[in-house]
Amino acid sequence: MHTYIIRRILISIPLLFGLLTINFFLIHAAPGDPTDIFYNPDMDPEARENIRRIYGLDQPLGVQYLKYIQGVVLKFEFGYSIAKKRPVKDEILEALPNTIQLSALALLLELSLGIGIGILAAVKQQSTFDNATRVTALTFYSMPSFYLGLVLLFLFAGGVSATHWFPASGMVDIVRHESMSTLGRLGDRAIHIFLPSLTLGIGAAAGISRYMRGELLEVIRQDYMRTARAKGLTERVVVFKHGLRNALMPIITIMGLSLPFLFSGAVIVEQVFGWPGMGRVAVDAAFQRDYSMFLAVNLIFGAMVVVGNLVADILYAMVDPRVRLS
Amino acid sequence: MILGLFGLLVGLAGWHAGTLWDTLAHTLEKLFGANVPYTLRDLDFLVSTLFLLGMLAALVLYSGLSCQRIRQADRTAQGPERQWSIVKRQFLKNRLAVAGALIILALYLVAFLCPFLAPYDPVEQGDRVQERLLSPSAEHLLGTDRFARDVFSRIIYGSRISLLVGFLAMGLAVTLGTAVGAVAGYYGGWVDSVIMRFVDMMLSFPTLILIITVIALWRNQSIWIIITLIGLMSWMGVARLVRGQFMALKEREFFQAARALGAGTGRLIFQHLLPNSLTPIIVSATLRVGNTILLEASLSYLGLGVQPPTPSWGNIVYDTKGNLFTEWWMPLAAGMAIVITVVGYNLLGDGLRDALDPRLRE
Repeated sequence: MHTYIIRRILISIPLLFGLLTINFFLIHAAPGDPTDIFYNPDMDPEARENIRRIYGLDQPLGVQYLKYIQGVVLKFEFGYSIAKKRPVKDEILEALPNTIQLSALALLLELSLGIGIGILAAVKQQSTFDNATRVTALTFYSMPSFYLGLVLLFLFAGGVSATHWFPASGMVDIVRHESMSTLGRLGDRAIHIFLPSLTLGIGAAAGISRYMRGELLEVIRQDYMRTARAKGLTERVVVFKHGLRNALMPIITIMGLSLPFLFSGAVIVEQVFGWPGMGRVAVDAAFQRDYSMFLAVNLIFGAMVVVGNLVADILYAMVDPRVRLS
Repeated sequence: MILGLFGLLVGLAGWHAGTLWDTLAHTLEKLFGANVPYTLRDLDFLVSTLFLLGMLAALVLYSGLSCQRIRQADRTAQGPERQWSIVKRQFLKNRLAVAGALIILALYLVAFLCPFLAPYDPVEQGDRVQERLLSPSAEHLLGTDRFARDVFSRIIYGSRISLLVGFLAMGLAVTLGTAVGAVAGYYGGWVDSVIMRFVDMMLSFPTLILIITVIALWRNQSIWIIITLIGLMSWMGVARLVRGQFMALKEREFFQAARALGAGTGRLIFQHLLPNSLTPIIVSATLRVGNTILLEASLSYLGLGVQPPTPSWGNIVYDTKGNLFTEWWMPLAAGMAIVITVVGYNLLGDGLRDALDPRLRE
């Protein structure tokens, strides 16, 4: 098991390296450069060259690439963000925890809601509940996350005055947060994170519940389920011990694969709710053509995919004794 | 059957390609210089009228043909059509699937008949002092936006972009995926290993972030670039699917027999493997359209999609999200249009899957 994990991590290193390389040349092939934000028409061309020299943009592309890789590998440095005027690492370390917070809460919602509803729908197949949740799940599954976010904003954050329960944006109340007690601060954070994580979680839960229902229905048709019933086991034991255990296995894989989707979903949701996370960093970097910031963002999102796949495989091996990792 | 389907697809692709009259007008302008013989709107009107007439003709033709078929039905009691009639019966029994098909059909009608349905020009700005941000009324069903444009008309014309992106990006992804998957599955061995490692690498690219990168850096938000990017980033699932199908089919007796009889590579792939893999490809293609439309809408919401004044549902939401707490009907109606479309495609895809898979029949 340990050797497998280590080998998988070693395999993913060249993958991420390839990603970084492709992105590096892709970005440098694009017209314009990050010093554009300093540019004005009255500027002396020599001054502009000077700025380019300061940031090392005048050197040949190969040299820039080697220097960048050297920084990443040896010093874990991701360069300097010209637009934000600070090291990329600082900016990312500030934004990443916020996105992880949001995604983690959404993941919790996704799993509890999705699996719960999926089980209920499968057990009561063709019932009113089943049909209602199927249509609801399909609707949420087909909804762009920004739209769900806007609907929730409208309903609970200002559009309808009777139900104005939540703030519309930010992580904390900028004015009052500092003067609150510890418990008050926690509550303040909770009401700010509620709508964004709900938006992110519901969309993902709809997908999971669809899979969960399908998997459990597939399992319920198996012969061993009939055997379990014939032995006289209660319906609860049959469904939860014999059925659910087998039906959950594919869900674990899907969950691992959904991690990166949750992360990139966060990009959109963060825009809707003004959440200061990686999504905002990514979109800002795109509009300001901030090379080094962009490379780092791409690397982190790529790493999320790799980690998600790895987690899925390891969990799968842990729950299914038939799978041997080697 | 297959030929008819192919004809339909080619026809749709052709219409979609012509949908963007802007592009067409540019070409015309280049060809004729400044004096374009007819305006954009005339062209739009012409095509829609042709479509209406075509629909009528098709209806007459179809009823004639089906009369003939009923007369013939007594003579050929059991033919190869039986399989399809089972599928058709299964599909029609599924009310949700039929609802999905009707939604999509209605949307295509709306997209074709934009000039007849939209009460105002979607791009032309009204009086920006008097007619700005009007509330919904009989004249403006969904009010007007901050440029005094009729929002209802914009949403009607926006259907074109979503259907266009959904159809073409899906087409690109499915074509690419089928080709790559077919090569990997047919040849196997090291070809398969190399191709599948490449697919794995493509799968670990963060799709949304990468598309944002390319669009933002090149400052090129042409709809064709967006379609190409979405297509290029979403073929991997189809490739895996087709490869799996090919691998399984290669073990079957009919394939072994065909090969033993000396069938060539082309014949084996196009006559034996591909037709037998068509079912899952069609299902996954239908379900993929929804995702493609969502991706385009998300890009538009970030301001990186189709550029105004061309209306798309995503950029209408982007344009009017600032009015959410006051003129809420604008962003919410445009978003609702996206939801209805994607629900339609997903219902259709689910229904097709259930009807085509004999194991799922009750």
